[in-house]
Amino acid sequence: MANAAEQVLDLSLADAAALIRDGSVTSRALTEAAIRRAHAVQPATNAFVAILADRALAEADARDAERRCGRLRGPLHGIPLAHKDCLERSGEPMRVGSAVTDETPGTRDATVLTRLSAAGAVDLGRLHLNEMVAGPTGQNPALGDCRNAWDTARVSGGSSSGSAVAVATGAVFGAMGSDTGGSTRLPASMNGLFGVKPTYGRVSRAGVFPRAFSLDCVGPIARTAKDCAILLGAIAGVDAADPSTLDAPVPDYAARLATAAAGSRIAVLVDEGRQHPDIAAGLAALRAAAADAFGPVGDRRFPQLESCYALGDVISKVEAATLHGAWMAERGHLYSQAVYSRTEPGLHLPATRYLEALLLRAKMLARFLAETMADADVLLCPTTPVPVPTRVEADIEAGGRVFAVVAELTRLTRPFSFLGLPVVTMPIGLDGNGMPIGAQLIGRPLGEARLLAVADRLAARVGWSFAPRRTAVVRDLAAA
Amino acid sequence: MADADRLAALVVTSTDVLHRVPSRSEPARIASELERLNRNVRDLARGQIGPYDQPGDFAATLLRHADPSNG
Repeated sequence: MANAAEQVLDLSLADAAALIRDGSVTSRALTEAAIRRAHAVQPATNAFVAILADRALAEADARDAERRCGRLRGPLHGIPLAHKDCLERSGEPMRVGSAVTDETPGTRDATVLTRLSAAGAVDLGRLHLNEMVAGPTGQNPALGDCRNAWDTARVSGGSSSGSAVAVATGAVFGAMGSDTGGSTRLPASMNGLFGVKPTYGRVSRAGVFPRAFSLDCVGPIARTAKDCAILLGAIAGVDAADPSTLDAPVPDYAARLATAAAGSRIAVLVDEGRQHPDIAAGLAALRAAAADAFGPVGDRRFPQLESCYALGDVISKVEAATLHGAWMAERGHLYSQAVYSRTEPGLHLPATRYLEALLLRAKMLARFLAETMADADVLLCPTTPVPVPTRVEADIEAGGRVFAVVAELTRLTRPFSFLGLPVVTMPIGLDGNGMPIGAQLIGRPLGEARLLAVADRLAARVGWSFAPRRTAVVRDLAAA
Repeated sequence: MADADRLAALVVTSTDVLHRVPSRSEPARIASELERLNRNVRDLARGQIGPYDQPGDFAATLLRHADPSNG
């Protein structure tokens, strides 16, 4: 049974759910295998902050008991997941990757965790992240760096670093991340995974430690578009505990995979900035695949891309400085240099600039939809314009480098956080270093069903399939 | 005194007098970041903000332009 469960760990969430449903594997066997895998990959990747084995096994046993009584909660029944350590758990500390926080246990579960638990998911533990959910690399002086599942010399991406690496190594089938300027999309892309930054307000942030409450979005990272659809369906929807959630219908995203892409008009967002040739080649292949699947793919321009980046940056910095100002005054020495340096400007930006950024948001969104997306339903562009850097190349603690590294890695993600639009990142191929390349699919507000359906079709066209044992980490472990 | 130097001096004063937060960054680097962000947003906003605009317009715009696939 142990070997069988080990093999199930390498399947998609949807396939594992089918095996639990028909009794081929129990949640306990799968959770035990997941715990073994999590411990096995931890020394090389540092993806977990805490593996909550006892708690996870108790949940797995409860799900198995329910199944024996004929009760199945749905496709997440008995499935091991784990989540970024910025989601509050009752009875567990939430350190947010920081030495500033302490071990005080949480007093409630984040709404997202409550919903996943109600859907039957098993919570395997707390995952690595950049300090205070701030940073695109997975580097963290307090925790040690999280390392890429494909090549441990390269960055994992951040700030939801552990969420991506735990999924990529096969330790869990999916994980929640949070995204303020790219923090779900970047690690998903850099580890060959699918990730969703939902429409702003689509998913509750109640109980989720913020970077910037006007921008933060919680979303899943998983191995396939279908897995993301299952996870998003479990967490989306209005929540009285988060007044920013949108009161809009929540479709059955997984069921809509077969139909929601029909008739979609696809276009490529022209990137006027510097783009590595490997990334450009990957996007060209995706464009060809999209043309085969959906018809002619035109070019669309967005002259305000840089402006939207600056507007999002102002909101992020001011809200972060507001949140951290008191801690910076009292315990400033406990912050990393990178996070402190990036937060300081927010103290000094004029309040008028912050409010202008908020007031321009609706106008910029309406203009983007009316002009750039006038006759397109989905825009394609790279998730990062550069290949996955090494940990040395992207060392944000090195003197004076943090602003440039962050700007380069988030250049194509932050503008869409400002616009609040849904984005799915999907793997589209490999760069010259053998590392994954990711592409963003950008949609209209609440267009997640369409984006996931398009991503599902394009993944088949570009021939991408998940294979955790291709990762350097798991391959090395198998050899040992 | 150049604008960059004046802004760096303002950063030092603001950090200490307004916020009582110890700075861990070079004032010139913070000033450079401030100048860039301030200029971008100020120039973009000029003439664009009306008397009836409010931040809540954003959520309403998201709902108004929802993709039909969500229905």
